[in-house]
Amino acid sequence: MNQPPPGPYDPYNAEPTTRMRATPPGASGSAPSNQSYPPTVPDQRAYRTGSARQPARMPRTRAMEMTRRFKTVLIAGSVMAFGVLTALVAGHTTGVTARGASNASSGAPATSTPSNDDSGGFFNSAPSNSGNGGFGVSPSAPSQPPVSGSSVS
Amino acid sequence: MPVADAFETHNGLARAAFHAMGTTISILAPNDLLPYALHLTRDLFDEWERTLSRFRPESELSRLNASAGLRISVSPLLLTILIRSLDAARATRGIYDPTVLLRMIEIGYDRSFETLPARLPQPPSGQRARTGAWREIEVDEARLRVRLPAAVGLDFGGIAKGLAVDAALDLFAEQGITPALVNAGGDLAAHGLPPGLPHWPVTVPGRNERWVIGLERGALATSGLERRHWTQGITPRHHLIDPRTGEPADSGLWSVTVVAGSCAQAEVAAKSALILGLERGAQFIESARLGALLVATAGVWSAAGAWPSAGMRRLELSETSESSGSAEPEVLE
Repeated sequence: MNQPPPGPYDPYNAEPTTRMRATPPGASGSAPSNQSYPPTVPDQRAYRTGSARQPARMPRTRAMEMTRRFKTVLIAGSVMAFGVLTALVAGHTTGVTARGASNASSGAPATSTPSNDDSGGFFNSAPSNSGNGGFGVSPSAPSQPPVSGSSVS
Repeated sequence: MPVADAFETHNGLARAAFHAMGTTISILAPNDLLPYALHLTRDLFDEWERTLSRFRPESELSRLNASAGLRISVSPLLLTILIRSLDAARATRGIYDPTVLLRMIEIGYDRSFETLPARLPQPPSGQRARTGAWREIEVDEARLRVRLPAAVGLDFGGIAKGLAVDAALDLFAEQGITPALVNAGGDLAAHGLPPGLPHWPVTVPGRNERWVIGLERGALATSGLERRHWTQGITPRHHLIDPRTGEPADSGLWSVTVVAGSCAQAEVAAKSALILGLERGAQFIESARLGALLVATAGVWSAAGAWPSAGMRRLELSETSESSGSAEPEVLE
């Protein structure tokens, strides 16, 4: 009986060769008793069979189409991300400003120590009745009896 | 207003006193100018009280408070005091707040303190008046018009007294009445120096004692808990409201005396420091470049800023008949 001549090697349809065969000869029970093989599970066999396959080459037009789509999505995503970040920054700035204005216009109590920088001139203004302005106190204790006194008002 | 005794002291200075703004006003001026100084001071305090008292229903301030929510015309005096009080509120970031009137009334201080009972009934619970509304007051300086927010009232309190003392000294300076000292219930300011002395020896209060310091120029004012306190129900109250809480201040300080360029500055700074407490009050005094004596409730005192710690002398009882801290001045001997 004549065998047909072997065709070109087709990696997707080729039968496993003896070298590639995962199942050891005689694994079905015909192996000589003095020959031992490591046990092989069916999944491992399938994996080894699958890994041998090579993916089909993608047509150039489809690859170009996918690349174009990917670039479009990337650009659109970048624009959207930039927009979102810009909005967040603007919102944060507006919020901080509004909060500051709110603190200034609402009855929110002060939480920090007032400083003369905020005095608006109240503590900086020199009294008009004093030629020298400001105040002066003696560094040494008076020996005279008091002529007047400050008391709790 | 009855005039208290006017009597001579030594070195050509004389003293006179009268009652106004719920306290004793005393002046020290040269003997020959004292009647004129007294006349000027009485007229000034009379006009200010008629305009600014919250206890007089017919006062301009009472009319303004009754018109909250409306834009109304005000006198130059009321406008000036309002602008200065708003300056003070800004300078203290609202620790001094001229709009605590309704809250003050809620805690019982609804009449002149001389007529306020020591014990008041517990008020019905309800919504509490807000503070900090000074930020919403509209002022039209050019047209002399003011609008208070609805349900807000003004109480100038101590700043009006301080500004009145400053105004009296301005008048004295214009009229050549110098040296002079004006004392309104313990808030005092001086112009010039007493004859033969390098400073005005004046007393300042502590918890259980008083000291004497030498004031060369400027003003002194004290805020504290010793006076103007009462009980509402079972709750002890006093008149220094912390605008941050709406309650009488509980800062651990008993009194704060401030030395400043003007009496109004000293008054506002003393009240603010007392509300802020020892540490932050001292920081505030230093940042405002003033000097203060801060006395804790326990009696321990500390100095802040330009306060002359080394220039304090403990007052002996023999030096004064008013060792209890009264607003009545001591007599120059």
